[in-house]
Amino acid sequence: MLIRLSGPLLRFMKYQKEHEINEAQTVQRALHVLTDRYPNLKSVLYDTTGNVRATHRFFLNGTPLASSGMDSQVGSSDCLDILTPIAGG
Amino acid sequence: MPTQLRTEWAFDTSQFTPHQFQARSLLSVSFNVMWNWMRTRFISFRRSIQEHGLSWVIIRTEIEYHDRVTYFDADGFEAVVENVKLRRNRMLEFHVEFRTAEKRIATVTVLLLAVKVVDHDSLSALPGKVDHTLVELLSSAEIHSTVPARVVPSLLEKIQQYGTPVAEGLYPFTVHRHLCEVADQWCFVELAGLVGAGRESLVTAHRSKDADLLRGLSEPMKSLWAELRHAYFLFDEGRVKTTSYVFGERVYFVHRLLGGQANQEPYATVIEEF
Repeated sequence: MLIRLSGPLLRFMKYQKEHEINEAQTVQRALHVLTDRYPNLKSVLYDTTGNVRATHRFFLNGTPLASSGMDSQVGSSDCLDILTPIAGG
Repeated sequence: MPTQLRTEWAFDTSQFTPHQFQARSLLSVSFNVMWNWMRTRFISFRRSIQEHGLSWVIIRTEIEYHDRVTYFDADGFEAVVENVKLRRNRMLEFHVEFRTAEKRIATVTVLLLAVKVVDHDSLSALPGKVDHTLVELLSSAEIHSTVPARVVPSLLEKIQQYGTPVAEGLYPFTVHRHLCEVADQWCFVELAGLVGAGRESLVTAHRSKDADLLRGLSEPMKSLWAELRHAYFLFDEGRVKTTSYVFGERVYFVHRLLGGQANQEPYATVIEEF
């Protein structure tokens, strides 16, 4: 699947917007693969209890994905967008 | 008593067009003196984020020009922050008066929304409120329970209903770091420059359509009103969609700042009056 990020997350991912992840069957697993690639992203994306932070919004193929939907099955043609609407700078 | 903060600044040529003090410069100085007011009268922006997880995002701004002031009228100006209001413990309103010894240059109003910083590395945030420990630092005259009326929607409706549309154009841009603040998020100061570029592109492309259009380049601006809804971030692609209207004696430029995708609601709506 393709994961696209923008905004304040970019600097934790070497300023690369798009990431191809083929070794995951769920959104959650794909995010874990991503944070394994970019360890500095982990504490930005997840809170201390391991849940995705409420400050980020997820869209699977353009449809909003609630934090309860992280177990959604994904395939190679799916696209996950991660947006961070507000930064307090 | 509400507290006031006065600071003195030298005129520099980059602050001016041939006609007036640049809108972007007014916003830039306002941004600085607002944080100076915070630092000296309330809590510094840095400590607010680091110690209270409280930050602010700009949701509205207005510029009202008064007397015509050009670069050669004086050596410097005074920026006075006054009438600061905390509204419903979640909005902070600033008024900044710009004046020389002889003339009033402009008044800038900025409305900020409190946000709670959730992650200090990315500064990602959610809507928030001001803690009571911080509210207690303000005087009773600075604490208000109302929110100010929105100007942009009603003015836009009036312009679209009674004005005559003249021309429309698109100005594309990419958000690079010179347009951003510390969180790689665009800085509201830059909206004045971006819509100015949209207006100037429109005027130069369509000036033969209507003689009034040229007023957007050849005359000083009278007012600017802006509402901000979404933030641009580093490397985002944006477009300024500008429509000009003649309405009575005035020329208006209505700017919608859009993202890279179609059918998105505007990131910001800005109206300039000439």
